Amino acid sequence: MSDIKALYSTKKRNKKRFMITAVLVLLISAFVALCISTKFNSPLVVLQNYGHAFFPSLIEATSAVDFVILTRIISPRVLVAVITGFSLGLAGTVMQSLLRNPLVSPFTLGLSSAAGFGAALIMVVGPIIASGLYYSSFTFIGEHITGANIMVLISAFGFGLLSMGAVLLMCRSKNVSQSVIILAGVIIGYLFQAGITALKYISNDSALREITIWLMGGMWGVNWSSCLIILPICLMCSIVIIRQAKLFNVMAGGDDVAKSLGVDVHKFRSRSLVIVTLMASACIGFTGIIGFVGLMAPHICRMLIGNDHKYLLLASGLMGAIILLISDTVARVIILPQELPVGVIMYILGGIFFIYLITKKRGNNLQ
Amino acid sequence: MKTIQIVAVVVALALVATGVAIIVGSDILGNNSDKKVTVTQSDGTEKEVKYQPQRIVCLSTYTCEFLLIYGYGDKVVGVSNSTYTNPDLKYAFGPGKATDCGSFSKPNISTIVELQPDLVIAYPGYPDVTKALDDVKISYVELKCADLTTIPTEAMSVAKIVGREDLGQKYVDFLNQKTSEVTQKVAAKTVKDKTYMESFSSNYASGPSSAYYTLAVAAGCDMVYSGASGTVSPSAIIEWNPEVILKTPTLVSMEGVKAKTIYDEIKGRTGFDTITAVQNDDIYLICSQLFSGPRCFGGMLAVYESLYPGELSKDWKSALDEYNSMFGVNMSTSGLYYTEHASA
Amino acid sequence: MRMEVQSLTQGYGKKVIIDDISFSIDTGEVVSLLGPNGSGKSTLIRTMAGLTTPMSGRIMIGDQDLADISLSERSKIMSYVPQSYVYMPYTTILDTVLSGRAPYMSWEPSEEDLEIVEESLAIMDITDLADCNINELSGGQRQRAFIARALCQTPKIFFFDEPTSSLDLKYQIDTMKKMNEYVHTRDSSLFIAIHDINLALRYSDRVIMIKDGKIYCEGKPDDVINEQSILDVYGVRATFTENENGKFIMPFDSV
Repeated sequence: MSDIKALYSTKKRNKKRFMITAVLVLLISAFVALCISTKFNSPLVVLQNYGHAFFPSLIEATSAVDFVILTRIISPRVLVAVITGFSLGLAGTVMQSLLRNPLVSPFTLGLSSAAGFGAALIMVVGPIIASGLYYSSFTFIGEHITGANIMVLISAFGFGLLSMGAVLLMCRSKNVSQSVIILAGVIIGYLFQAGITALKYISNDSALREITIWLMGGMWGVNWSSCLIILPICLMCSIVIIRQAKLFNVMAGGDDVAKSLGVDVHKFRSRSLVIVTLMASACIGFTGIIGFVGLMAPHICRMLIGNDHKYLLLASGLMGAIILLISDTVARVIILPQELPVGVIMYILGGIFFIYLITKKRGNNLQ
Repeated sequence: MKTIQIVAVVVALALVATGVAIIVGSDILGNNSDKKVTVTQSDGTEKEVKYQPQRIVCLSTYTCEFLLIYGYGDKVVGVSNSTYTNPDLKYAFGPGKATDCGSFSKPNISTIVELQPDLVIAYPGYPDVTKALDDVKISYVELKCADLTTIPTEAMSVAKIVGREDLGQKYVDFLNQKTSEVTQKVAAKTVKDKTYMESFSSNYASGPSSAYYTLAVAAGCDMVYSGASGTVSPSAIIEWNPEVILKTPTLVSMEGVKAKTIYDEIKGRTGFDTITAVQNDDIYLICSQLFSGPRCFGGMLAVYESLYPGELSKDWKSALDEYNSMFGVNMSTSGLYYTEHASA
Repeated sequence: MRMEVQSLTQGYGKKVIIDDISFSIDTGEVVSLLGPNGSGKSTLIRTMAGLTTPMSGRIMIGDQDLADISLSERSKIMSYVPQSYVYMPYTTILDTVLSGRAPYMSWEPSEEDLEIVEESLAIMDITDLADCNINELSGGQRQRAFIARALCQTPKIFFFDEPTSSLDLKYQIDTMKKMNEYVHTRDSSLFIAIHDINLALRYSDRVIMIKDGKIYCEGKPDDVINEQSILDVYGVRATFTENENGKFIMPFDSV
């Protein structure tokens, strides 16, 4: 076998190993997270309760309370953390590749400010303008949902998409450069940020606290109904994105070279940005603003396995899921029974890991 | 005229002018001739303030209500936003009566200065505010009247400032009469209900530092949570399995059908159907207004009644009616309490 | 495959940069585009490579109008190496060059794809750099990688916009020599904007000199490049010398 073919095979093998390791780490982290509720349960407890969920007549739950907590509170929370981390990691990679800028994240283009504005708007204005709907309640697959939940979700989602629409509209011209796109996004972000500040100013105390808690982000309020909504959206969007890995590789060479290699640059970029906005907005509606992951997961993975998007996209998703899952688990355990906002833990853990990677330079990578 | 006569007239005129200036000046400044009193603040320290100030800015809603029942409401020229919009108090302190000075924690100092108050009653624990008041040389005292344990002292301090110590004493006696019945009965209880208490945000547990907590304990609750006020994990609440759940929404958020929404939301939280309190409908929404201020006896009675219905000689509503007629005010007695428990 | 440019006019907004240009390129030809900065070289190359739509005129590839050829078809017929380089850190040379096979690859590269990559790396003499990150290399090494990427596209026509500017002297000559050989043996053509007139003299089959957006002259390098044309187009006085290796320019003064 020639040198190049041998090199390619070796790289491929190393990258596959990395992916398998990442998947294993994720599965183990998820299982450990399931073992942790308000105390550290043994894995057998988890297995037994899950056994009862699937074979109620054959296997007994360890206790009614354990069963409810595990299957209806912890499990959906773990799943949402994984889906959200994955979506944000993937979205971050896509944005950094499309805009060829290592500082962009799903939130650079104003997405988080817009979604935050949408949520704050409902919390302040909803009770006044649509109090009937705001204070109503529904049941969805056995979970209690208020009209307020639904209104906040739709509003955050809608404004998130709106921000991307505004950015793309501002950059209608086919000759616009990446820096212009980024600038447009930053400006949109500032506008919505001003809106949030104004809403906070005029809100009463209870709405203000609600807004603040929402903006901090966190997964304590999620249940299976949340999963049912974001899983299909994020799964579909992820598949669409990952299948186009080759095109992302080509974009790395610049707009001109990409076009000469057969990519309709403008269309591809707009479409991909809309898809990742969809994913990120869907998650934001349930979890609030979760930063860091979308920026750092791609960086970490690029340093470890390079810029081949066949692997990078999925790897960043997995890395994002791992980071968010571990941070959320630590955040809900470290000062029991109270909960820390997930961001506090994530920035510390993720930041330390990233600094370690940088100082070791190329040490650990499989390139 | 001779020179000496002219000089004498000029000197006399000068003396007269100086004398007038001193008299007129001291009338405007007022400080030296006005009486002062020393009162105990919320944190227990003493402060000297002007007696019977004529222009008060009061940033605590609860202290405003004390001023009102002491017949001193018309001297209040500025209030915080929460007082300005409070449904029960805005007839006395709302639009047309007093000026909105912004939030109690971050009031608009320029607005306060423009009102030219001779006393500001500030909310304790906000050094930014008191420093700003020091900078503009406005006299202030820190009295929040929010906590049952300090209200008797604070009530007397307010009464002393306005010169109605008789009304102050009347209030303290009334309060003692209402609360002592509960305190005695609680002391006799050997078993107390395990209670989880939540503030107006979901999953935000009240901790020992809050007025709600101290009052609930005094009313006979065995609190499941004793950490700092903050968000707690829903799993933890399920594991504590409280027998009673208390929630303290604001007056506005309990209006009309909203109270039921809050109630349903608590019952509907994932996994809460395993909690004893939820299964027995031992969930009680008691408006936060009843835990602080002059009507704090109302909260105490309401909590006790929720735990032990039918034991009190007078229920909390009658106690509030009594308060209204005794002090000549008209505080609402409806929309303050909600439960779906069978006995209510 | 013959490429014909017919009355091509291109510019930005209302400003015209190339004005009514017509010429053709035949299979097996190396055609050099000479001219000072701002004369419209990059604009011309980019338009011919199908990256922008011309204001007027048309470009024929064989008997097809370029405007009628889809992007994916174009990527198999033409390749383009720009003047300024864009890359993402942590991309290896192998991955960079492999992306040149994008028009032909689906998910994984085939044996043939990897063979073509290997060959392109060898031609540009960067085989031993295949595993290096592109951000860790020198400008010249990067440039050779981008040329190798263009080679992987196995196009009929190459468009290079001053690809030798960052290269060492050795590699400047080497690249031109190899491209000349490649084009002649593999039935393709090369249209290259170049600064170094000696390289153009040595390795082109034809030369087009462009001034102020119009063609000044075109033809064989020895015929077209002389004292007068250099003076007119570049504003430079030069003499020429000839030996057994060829004709060489020696500029000595500016006007």
